[in-house]
Amino acid sequence: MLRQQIENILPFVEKPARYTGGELNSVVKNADDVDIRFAFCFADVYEVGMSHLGMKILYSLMNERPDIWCERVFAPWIDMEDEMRKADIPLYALESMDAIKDFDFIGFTLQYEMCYTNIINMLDLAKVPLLSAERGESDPFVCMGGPCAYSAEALADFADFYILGEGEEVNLEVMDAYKDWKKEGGSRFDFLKKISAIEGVYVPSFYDISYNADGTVMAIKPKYDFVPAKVRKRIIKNLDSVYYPDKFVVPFIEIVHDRIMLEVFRGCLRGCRFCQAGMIYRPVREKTPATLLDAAQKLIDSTGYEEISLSSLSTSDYSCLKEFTDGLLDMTEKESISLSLPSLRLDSFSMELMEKVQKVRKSSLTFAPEAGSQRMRDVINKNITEEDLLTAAKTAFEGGYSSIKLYFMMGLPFETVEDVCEIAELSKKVVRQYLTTPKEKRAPGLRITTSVASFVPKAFTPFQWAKQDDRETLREKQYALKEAMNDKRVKYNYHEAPVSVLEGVFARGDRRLSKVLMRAHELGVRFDGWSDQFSQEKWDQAFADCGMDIFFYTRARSFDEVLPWDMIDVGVTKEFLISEARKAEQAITTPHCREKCSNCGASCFGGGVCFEPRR
Amino acid sequence: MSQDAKIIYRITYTKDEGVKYISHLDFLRCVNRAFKRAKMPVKYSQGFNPHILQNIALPCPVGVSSECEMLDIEMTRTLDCDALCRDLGAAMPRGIKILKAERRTNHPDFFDISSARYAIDFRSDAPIEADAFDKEECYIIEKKSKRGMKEVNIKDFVQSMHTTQSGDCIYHIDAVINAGSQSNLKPDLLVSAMAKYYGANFCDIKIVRKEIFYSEASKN
Repeated sequence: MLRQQIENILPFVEKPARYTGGELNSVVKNADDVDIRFAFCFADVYEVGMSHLGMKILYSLMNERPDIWCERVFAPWIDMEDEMRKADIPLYALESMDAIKDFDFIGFTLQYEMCYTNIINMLDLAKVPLLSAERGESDPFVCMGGPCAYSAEALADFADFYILGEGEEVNLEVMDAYKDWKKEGGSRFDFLKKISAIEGVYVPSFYDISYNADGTVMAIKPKYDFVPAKVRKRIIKNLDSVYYPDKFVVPFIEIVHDRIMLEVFRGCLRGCRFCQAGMIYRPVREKTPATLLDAAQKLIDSTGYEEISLSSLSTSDYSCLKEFTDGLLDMTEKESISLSLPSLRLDSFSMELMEKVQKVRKSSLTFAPEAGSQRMRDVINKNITEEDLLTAAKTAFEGGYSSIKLYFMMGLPFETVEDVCEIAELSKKVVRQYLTTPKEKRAPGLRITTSVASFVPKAFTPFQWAKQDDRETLREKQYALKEAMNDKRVKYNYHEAPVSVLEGVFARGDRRLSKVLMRAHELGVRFDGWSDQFSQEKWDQAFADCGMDIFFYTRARSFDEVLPWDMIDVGVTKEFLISEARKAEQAITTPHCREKCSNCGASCFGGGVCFEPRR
Repeated sequence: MSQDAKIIYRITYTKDEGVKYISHLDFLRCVNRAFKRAKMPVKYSQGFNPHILQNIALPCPVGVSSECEMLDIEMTRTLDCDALCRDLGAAMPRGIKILKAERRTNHPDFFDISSARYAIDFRSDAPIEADAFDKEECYIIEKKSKRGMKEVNIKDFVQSMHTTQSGDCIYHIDAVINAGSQSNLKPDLLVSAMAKYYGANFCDIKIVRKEIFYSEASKN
């Protein structure tokens, strides 16, 4: 236990409570009583990592088992890192304050690409050999999961194995395999061999990748006959009966999402072509209102939180939305806590639901039209019209809202500068909608915020072959939009282009990027997601030092190119993605799963919306 | 309404090592949630943004644990003190122990707190003459005030202090220093002043608040 050493440096860091644990519902066990110690790492600061629902679920799930102790680890902020390095304190877990290098597993959840350098930095701080190939028999296994794991080849040299898909079942299967392996007594290789037989486990070192002269992947070949050619992700077939925690760790300090989160369903019906989550979480599987309300009541009782929110993609597509929100609003009113709704779809936005939520508290509404022109919305398969948006805005203004946030993207495939400038036109039409709402009906203080992110093509989407706009093109588009946005009533925000480009490189990278990540780490790169820490110069140097080219990774790919993540099977087939990419080019939309099945491939899992009776 | 007619409970509790880095504001939120979890009939303020009517005796400095914390909380109805003590204790994070709860009657006001006793342990990187600093009449330090840094005699804030050696280069201080809204000294400032006085570096510093005192005037 490193408590005394840690306490000596805490007076010199900001927010020391990030580093001391002890929160309500955090789990402390006796290390001697458990067989497996698991360090669950989130490669960002405490406030960000503690907001992540997946971590809450898996933390509680593993700790339900008396033989496993799962503890939390976050990236220390730079002031803490400096102090830890000065005092020679290795990275430790919050519950026990023990060094994680002595754990059995170090697991990282990959939520966004810009945390990859933090992962390497955390391994370094932990004093664990950075490269999988350099780890010995006494080192922990380093595993990675989460949405980015499906195409995290850039981390292939650092990960011992990946866990693909939903973790509730497969994580425990891996833990059981570990106990068996310990009993049998074998090498690290033996363990990896053993778990490579578990569906959803991908061991990158078991595959050989060969390359063509132009740098593209020639072939992906399993090195051994026991290795599957393709690793299929795991899903929970019956979501209604899946484990859900009845307790959340309640932090002392304020975190980003400081509230109860309820997961209503997994997957998304919609099939927006830019959206990775919409493809990798297929098929849609719902929980019943009774299950959700039961979970809500338990979490209200165990946390004392004053707010509850719903966490799903396109939550208004929930088939029992009315029954569920009626029950939930009764509960929140009785417990005097507030309900915050996530972004709702415009076409199913109802006055009724808005009114219901307003009874508890009024906040701003968020709409995500994603693209300014109708043509572009058809290209990306965002099935909403300008009329949908303006009607929803009108309803909102008449309902007493005066603050609306609009989310858009730029840099989408087949997009012109004119398409981008239509974002400004649409924003201004929303302003006009407010002005034409009778004064006695509308609330004062109009606030329209238009946020425009740079599109990043992601693996396992119909746009995975698309060219990503370079920095200059994105800057030109941002500038043109700024010019067109000549209305002071609209606040215009946009993302920094360089970060988006780098995100795109790692989102579609191959394992040769491991070298670049290592070099960037040596140059002191970390916290790339924090704009005050991001250094384009250091990244440019890292790529140059490794003789690697950023543009190789942002280029357009042909449909027959072997993709670096072709050994992974997410259910959705390449054929479906290609047909969607072709339809995008012609601006033809695809109906959502409940309207018509488009044979995406996700039915191979044998559950969810694919097997719902059709009307 | 008189103080007696309101249903106010004075709760005494401890904050141990594990929760001593929680800031005062974070601690307030933590207590609010504990009352909510314990489903206590706490009274809320009127108005647009209702909040719990609670008052904490003397904010505990970050990094200091305590054996004598107090807070007053207003309830909408009377409660059994033992049950309050037990139920609130069960709802608190480990690290906060409820010692007692009593209906506030003629208890002194937190505003009249004048000083607090601290037990401080530390290790010095060089041997020091334990009581030399204790005996000093005057030692000038920079202290943050509302109008920026100010030079003050730290000894004006120290009512008594007694330093003893408790091991090899390990020392213990028992000190009563000013605390409260009238005049306040953070105990860590006393420790850093001492380190400077001796020209030594102190580490493994542990500060525990042991007791809170009220001004003489309040006892009448």
